[in-house]
Amino acid sequence: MSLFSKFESLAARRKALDESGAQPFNVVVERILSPTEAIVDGRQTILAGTNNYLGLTFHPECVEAAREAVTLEGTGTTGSRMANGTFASHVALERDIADFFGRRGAIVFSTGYLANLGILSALTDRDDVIVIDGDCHASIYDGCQMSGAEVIRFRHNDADDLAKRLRRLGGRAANALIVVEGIYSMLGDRAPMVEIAAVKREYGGFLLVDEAHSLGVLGERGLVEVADEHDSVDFITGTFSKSLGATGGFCVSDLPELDLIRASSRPYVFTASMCPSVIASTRAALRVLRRGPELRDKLWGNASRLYDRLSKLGLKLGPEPSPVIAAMFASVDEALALWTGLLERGIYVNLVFPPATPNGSYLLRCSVSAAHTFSQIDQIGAAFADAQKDYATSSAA
Amino acid sequence: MQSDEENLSKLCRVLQQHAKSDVVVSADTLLASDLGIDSVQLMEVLLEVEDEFDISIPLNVLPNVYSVNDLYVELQKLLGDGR
Repeated sequence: MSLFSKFESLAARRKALDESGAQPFNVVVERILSPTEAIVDGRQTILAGTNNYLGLTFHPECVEAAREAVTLEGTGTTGSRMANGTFASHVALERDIADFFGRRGAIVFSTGYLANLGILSALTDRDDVIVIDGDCHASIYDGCQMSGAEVIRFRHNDADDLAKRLRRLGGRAANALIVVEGIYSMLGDRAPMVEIAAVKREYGGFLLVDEAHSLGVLGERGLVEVADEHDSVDFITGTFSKSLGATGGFCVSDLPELDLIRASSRPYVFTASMCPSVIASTRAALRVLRRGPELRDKLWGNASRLYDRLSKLGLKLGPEPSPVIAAMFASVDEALALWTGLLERGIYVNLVFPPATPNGSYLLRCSVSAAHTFSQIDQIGAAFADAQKDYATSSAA
Repeated sequence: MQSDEENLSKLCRVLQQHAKSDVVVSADTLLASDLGIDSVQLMEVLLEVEDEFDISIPLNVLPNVYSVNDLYVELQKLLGDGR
């Protein structure tokens, strides 16, 4: 068996995709024009799969803050937070993010993926148990694996199933770490936070909520805020790469032990820290977010409009309107044909294949932005309708 | 508590319901290839196995579980553990 034999099935699937003419996983944004438009394949394209929820990537305050920081502090830190890579701005961002969440402390990581990896792997070890929602993001699964802890998953968004798992743990439940997400990245549904928190209070343990897709989308701070469960949640992780339009990740907590995690977290220690321009734009974006609900209101107006349009087309969507709107398909051919049809019509959405999807379905995943206009939302809806008609015609022939 | 033999029969019965091939499930059956289900479907089937035996199977053990017998061995450990 050769070193590369494990890639044989991937190579076969990739060949089949290449033969179909579609390149869904090699899309190149040739030129970015705005938070919602780019040149793709030589064509002006509406971006409807970027997670740029508040549309802040071109916000003048964020751009100016980044420009000023790169001029004053250079292009990168060239070092780990534990060595030469902690600038005053890293500490200031940690203060900002802790204050924003009303928590005692914060740790900032270089990406959102590393935040989950860094916290889970440092917080738990082989003597611990982590109980995760089955639809959790890969960064959570990877963090669990890196920790060496015993990992148990419960049925997606099923608080009764979580309770059952904790009951089976007996006395170990009191020290278990429960992990859920504010908004799940694939279908856009949110965790039943009140019910999850009630189970946690009944059995004990600790609760970590990943607000990667819900920060700035549900209330200012995410699902924990709108569910009014601040006191039930021990750790909140998240990313700066979606609603705040940059890169980087974080964990906040009221627990004084949070700071001890820094030195124990390999994904914190053994990577270069966020560069100054990214910190500056993130801090500016946070100020914009805190200024008021206008962007959020615009986002939800767009999300409801697109969800409604796609529902009326008879597409099978996630269970609730959300800025993440996924159309589910049982057939790879249909999903691929629609994805290609959308791109040809100047609409980019994400195409996601199992096993990255719930229930083994193929997804056309849209993410809506506050920066989309109603006209763009309507163009996305119309392109779905046309691509759907084309597929129906071609498959009937 | 049920006997080892009863547990194996019960496990085979649950898995048989989900087999997409005409295989008769036994201890030697390979979970993925013989049952004709993919890894995502297998995870769903395991949820049912967990409920049937009132246990939680840690994800950590799954990389070493290929056959029904491998799963049965893990299951016996968990039942002995009271989990």
